[in-house]
Amino acid sequence: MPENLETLRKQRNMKAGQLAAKSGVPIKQIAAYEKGERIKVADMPKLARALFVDESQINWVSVPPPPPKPVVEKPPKVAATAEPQAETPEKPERTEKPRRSKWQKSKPGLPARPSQIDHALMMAAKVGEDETAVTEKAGKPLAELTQTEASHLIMTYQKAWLEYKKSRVPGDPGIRGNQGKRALTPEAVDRYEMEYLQARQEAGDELTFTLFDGSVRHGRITGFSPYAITIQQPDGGETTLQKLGIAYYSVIGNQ
Amino acid sequence: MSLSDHLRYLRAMRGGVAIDEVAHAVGIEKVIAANMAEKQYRPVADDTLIEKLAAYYGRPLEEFQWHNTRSRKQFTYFINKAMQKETAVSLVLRHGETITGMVEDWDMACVALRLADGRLLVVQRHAVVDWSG
Repeated sequence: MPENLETLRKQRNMKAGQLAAKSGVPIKQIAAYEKGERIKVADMPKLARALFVDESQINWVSVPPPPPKPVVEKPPKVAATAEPQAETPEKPERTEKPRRSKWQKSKPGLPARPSQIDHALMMAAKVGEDETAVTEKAGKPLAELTQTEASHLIMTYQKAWLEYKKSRVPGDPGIRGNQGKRALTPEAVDRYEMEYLQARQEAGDELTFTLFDGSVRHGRITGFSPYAITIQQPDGGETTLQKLGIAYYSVIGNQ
Repeated sequence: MSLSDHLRYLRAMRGGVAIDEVAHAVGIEKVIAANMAEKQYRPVADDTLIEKLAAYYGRPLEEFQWHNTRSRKQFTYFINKAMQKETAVSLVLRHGETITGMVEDWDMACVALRLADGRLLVVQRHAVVDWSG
């Protein structure tokens, strides 16, 4: 019987932030799922892995808990001989300050931060444009951009990326061929590594693991979780290697 | 290696002391600040926090600042660019080894590196201290 995401999370004494960090799904998205939004197909395996459950054990749409019963307020007792209350003076109208849009926070005269340039280049790469094209679009060398200009440039590419995503045909691997990147803790298993480990496990390949201290372990993969890989060593013994302790690994032989 | 990865490495080398113990020892009220410093994708912005953590781990501040200029985001940018331009990269690992090869694929946890001898290495991103190419 599938359970609500929130129920499963609380059963594991996890906070929403911890689930977000383990799964790589943004915390806002998790909150939305727990309120009843349908879980995206791409997020389901991440959440299942982080909670160590099968995907079928999670409700695609969480059923929100019943709302608390409304508190019925009793009407205030009014004395029969009460004098009419004096009118309360009207509050002066609040004058609304003009709102600043997000990009207005950038200081117009200051040179763009390196992170802004990086961000613009990353966004441009997503829509298939290289540094030359970005420079052309900016109309001047990237090093001479101001913070405001860099913000505009990033927004332009963000819009282009959203347009591209809307028009993308399902199954298309995308311009980068590498979609769905999210900030995970780096020792977790992500898309490429999961596919690689699954393939090696199914093929029964023997791998060699080099650890942080330079020592080496050999064995066949018998299983892996988000943060560990279990191998069967040539002598038959099983060892679980924490991913944080691994430097690299490869199949033994030229593959 | 990003400062976040370096912090996790140092904490592991201290026997895996709990993050809240680190936070209390350096006088950070919000444990989440120390926790987030270990999970940052971008550079850690709080200079005071960096100073406190450097003092706690008994490491020079310059070392922490050096790692903070090599964020995970910058590494992503570097390997993605190298993959697109098909240029060779050299990765310096934590145990001192330097490996050189072509980036075949990458994700948020690893880099698939094709070496000159044809072998495919799955290099863990958290093991990469420095990079060039």
